[in-house]
Amino acid sequence: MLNSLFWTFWLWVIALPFAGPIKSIYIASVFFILSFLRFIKFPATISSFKDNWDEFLSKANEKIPYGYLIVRILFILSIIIIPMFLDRRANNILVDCGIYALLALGLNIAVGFAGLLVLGYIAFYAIGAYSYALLSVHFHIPFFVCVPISAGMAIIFGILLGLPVLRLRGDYLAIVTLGFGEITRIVLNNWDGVTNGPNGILGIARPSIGSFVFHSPKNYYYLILVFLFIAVFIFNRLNNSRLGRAWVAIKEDERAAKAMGINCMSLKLLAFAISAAFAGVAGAFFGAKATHVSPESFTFFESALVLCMVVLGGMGSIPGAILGASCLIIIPEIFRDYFGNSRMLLFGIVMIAMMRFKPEGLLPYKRRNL
Amino acid sequence: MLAQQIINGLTVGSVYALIALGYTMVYGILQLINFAHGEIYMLGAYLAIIFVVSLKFSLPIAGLLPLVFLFAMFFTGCYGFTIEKFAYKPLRNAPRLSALITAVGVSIFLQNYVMLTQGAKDKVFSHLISEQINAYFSNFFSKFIPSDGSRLYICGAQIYSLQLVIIITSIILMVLLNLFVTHTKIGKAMRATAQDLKMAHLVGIKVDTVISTTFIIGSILGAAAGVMVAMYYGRVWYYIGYLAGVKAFTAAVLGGIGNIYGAMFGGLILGLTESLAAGLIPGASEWKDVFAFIILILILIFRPQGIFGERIGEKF
Amino acid sequence: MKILETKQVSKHFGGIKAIEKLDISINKGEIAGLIGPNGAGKTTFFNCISGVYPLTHGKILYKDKLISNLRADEIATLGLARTFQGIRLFTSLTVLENVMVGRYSRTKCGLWGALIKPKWAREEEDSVKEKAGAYLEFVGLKDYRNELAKNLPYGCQRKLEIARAIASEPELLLLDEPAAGMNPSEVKELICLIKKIRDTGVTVLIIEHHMRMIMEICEKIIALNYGVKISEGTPLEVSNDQKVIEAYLGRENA
Repeated sequence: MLNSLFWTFWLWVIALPFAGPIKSIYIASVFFILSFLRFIKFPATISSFKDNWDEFLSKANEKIPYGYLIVRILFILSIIIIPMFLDRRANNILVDCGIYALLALGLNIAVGFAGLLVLGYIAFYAIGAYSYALLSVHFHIPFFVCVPISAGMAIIFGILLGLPVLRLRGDYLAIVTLGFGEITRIVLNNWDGVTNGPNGILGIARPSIGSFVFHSPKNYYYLILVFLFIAVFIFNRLNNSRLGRAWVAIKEDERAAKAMGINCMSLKLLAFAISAAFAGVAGAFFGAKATHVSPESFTFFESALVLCMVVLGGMGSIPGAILGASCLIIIPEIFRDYFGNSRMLLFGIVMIAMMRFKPEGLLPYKRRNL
Repeated sequence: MLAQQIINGLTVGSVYALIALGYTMVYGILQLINFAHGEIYMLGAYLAIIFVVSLKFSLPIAGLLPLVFLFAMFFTGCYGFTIEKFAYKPLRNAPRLSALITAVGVSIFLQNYVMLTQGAKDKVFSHLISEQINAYFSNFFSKFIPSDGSRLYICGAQIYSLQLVIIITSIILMVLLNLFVTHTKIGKAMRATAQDLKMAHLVGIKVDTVISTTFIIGSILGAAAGVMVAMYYGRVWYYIGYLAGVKAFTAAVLGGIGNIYGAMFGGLILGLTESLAAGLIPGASEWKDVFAFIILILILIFRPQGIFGERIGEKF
Repeated sequence: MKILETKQVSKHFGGIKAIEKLDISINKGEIAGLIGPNGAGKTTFFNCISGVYPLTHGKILYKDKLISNLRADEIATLGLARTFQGIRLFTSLTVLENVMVGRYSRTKCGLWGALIKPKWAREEEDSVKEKAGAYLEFVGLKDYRNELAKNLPYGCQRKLEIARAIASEPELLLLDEPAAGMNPSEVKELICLIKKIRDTGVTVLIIEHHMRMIMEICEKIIALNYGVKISEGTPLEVSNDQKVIEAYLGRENA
């Protein structure tokens, strides 16, 4: 008590020059309240909720034949049906959630599986988006042909960047990818001849199948849903394979992994490349949805946002990534008037607090029983 | 032209060097990239402007400047200490990835904290003060160097007196730091802890105190850099810490991270390369920021241990 | 027949000569022991063999093939497995999965295999699971199958590390102080286990301070001091060697 009073006062003092005496009181008192939160087992309730849910599911599975299957089908049906009752704006938000969930899943392959901290992840998203934009505007290549090309471009850049850096210690990767993110943005901004500078590229074609053109948010929602299903499928398959185990081994202890005959360098490169490919696909989708791309969509803010989603949901966890994306997109949207510009501040706090109190995330990945 | 670019490069370079010292000292002891360090530099710059603006000309320059430095250094030191205490200390035994993510979180937090409290726009010094400070130093330097009242002339280069102040102050601070780590008890403890944290602990060094001190000193040096940059440009923005941080980190890696002298040297080299490349290659000034990253990637490919070599290899 | 041979192997760290011109040969099918006081260079030697450190000088031959220029993972794939002095398990994986990682070098399911899961990939995965289970049973950890590795008691973690190493079906197994921190009954179990492993045709090289164990199971002992071989021979010969007694046992008697 005395301790937290002291630190509250301390924070008030150091916040003084920036916030002035009154605002500093707010800041310090937020800390004061937070310092009491640790007496409440708040984060624990969430995970116990998840445990109970799992338990409920497995019990249901015993009692009702095909219980798991039924719950799954109900879940899938609900995410298919719900958007039909929502308006344009809500559906738009859901599409954003989908894009970010795709990004969070992709980043999870690097960060959650192989333990590679990528801080400029959005660069691959930008590469994917600009690849599609340029191909669409100059050569009129349809969206579904461009998706694999966008993924391929992201992979190529991923490999070019990964080759020199991945053999070094992990921290270097973090800073080099941070730099890479910034370089990409500067190049997009300054290479007027190709990227049209800060104005970006306009008039990107919408995706179409036959004569059907995707135009409303609802259309895009179902399209991103398909992408997400594929992503979840890939993620799952990788996670439960020989590769998935090897990645975790590398993340946990590189030296021991090598002694098991795991070629750390090439596997890390693989994880990095797959991760980049996810971002490339998400980027192409983003370009197709917005119909224009410009450098300002690809700032460090976005990279940090995606990382925050991964951290919040739980590294290596599919429901975690989706929950993280939904939370960080939907909640600020609902409280838009209250949060205003303080969104990023909260993301920073979330990252610090999660690492300190619940590093495994809200929906941690549990190893399966084999 | 060349002399001009060299002086410009040395100015930027000494700023990078001062920031790089903070990265390198923390890395040497905790093997942690303190991403938030660039933000500390930004805090220092803001504090300088906040202090000067709130005083409103009530002091002569000669009395004002030391106070600005003290004010900014004191508060950034506090910030460095607090960040270590709340964000990093609880994670000392956690996986490295967690600490890195926390560092990114702290960096985002500080950036937006300043943006929210000080506004998203540039914060500007009054022109008058900038000019006064420049004139004050011009007056001082004109005893040794030819000047026209506002600028100095060395080998055909026009130099603002503040550039010289930045270079000289940086050198003084680096010499002081060197004396500190080689001659004081806590400085020696710092070096011992950088060699082997566990062993230092076993021989009775108060590791927590050493780490706190490291953060405080790193922050103070970063603040000094921030103050000088704020005076030189007369304006700050909450985003300046990000780029400066990455570049200073590049400087630290260039010199060999964990090595104090490497950081000083790496900062100067980086600054010189940047300004020479931007000044001498036509049309390159827009791409100035890209050079630092390209240099970083090139070092990591060809000489990841840096010019002077890492003091600490990977511990097994 | 020699399975491992080192020729004039040296490893220097700066000015420190951790290993100096070491000539050692291990015959197929034997249990060999590597002893020496602390800091004699035993673990460094292991790290040199398994490719963790590059050599300063010399050659290492495994089954008459030069391996000292290979990467650690390539060496492991050739059939040379090891355990570590401080336990290095993959702590967030389950016990079974740890052993399954050990099968990595003997399986080949890559990216496409994982994604498309053709019949052979499923069969491979099943056999990995089955064999990993069998190795767990072999070392006596069957009951811990689905525990996380970090939750195992110390002795079991040691056994798990051995299970993980033998899961790669090595021909040469390097054990770095497997008995460290074990009580007498655990040591007895460990001795049985190591003999059992040898009986499946695996050559074993052990670093150990536990003298009674070394004397009991090793057919051949090599003694190091200050990175130099000071004695080599049967347990009886080595334990009577004056140099060894001076460097190592002598100090214990004093």
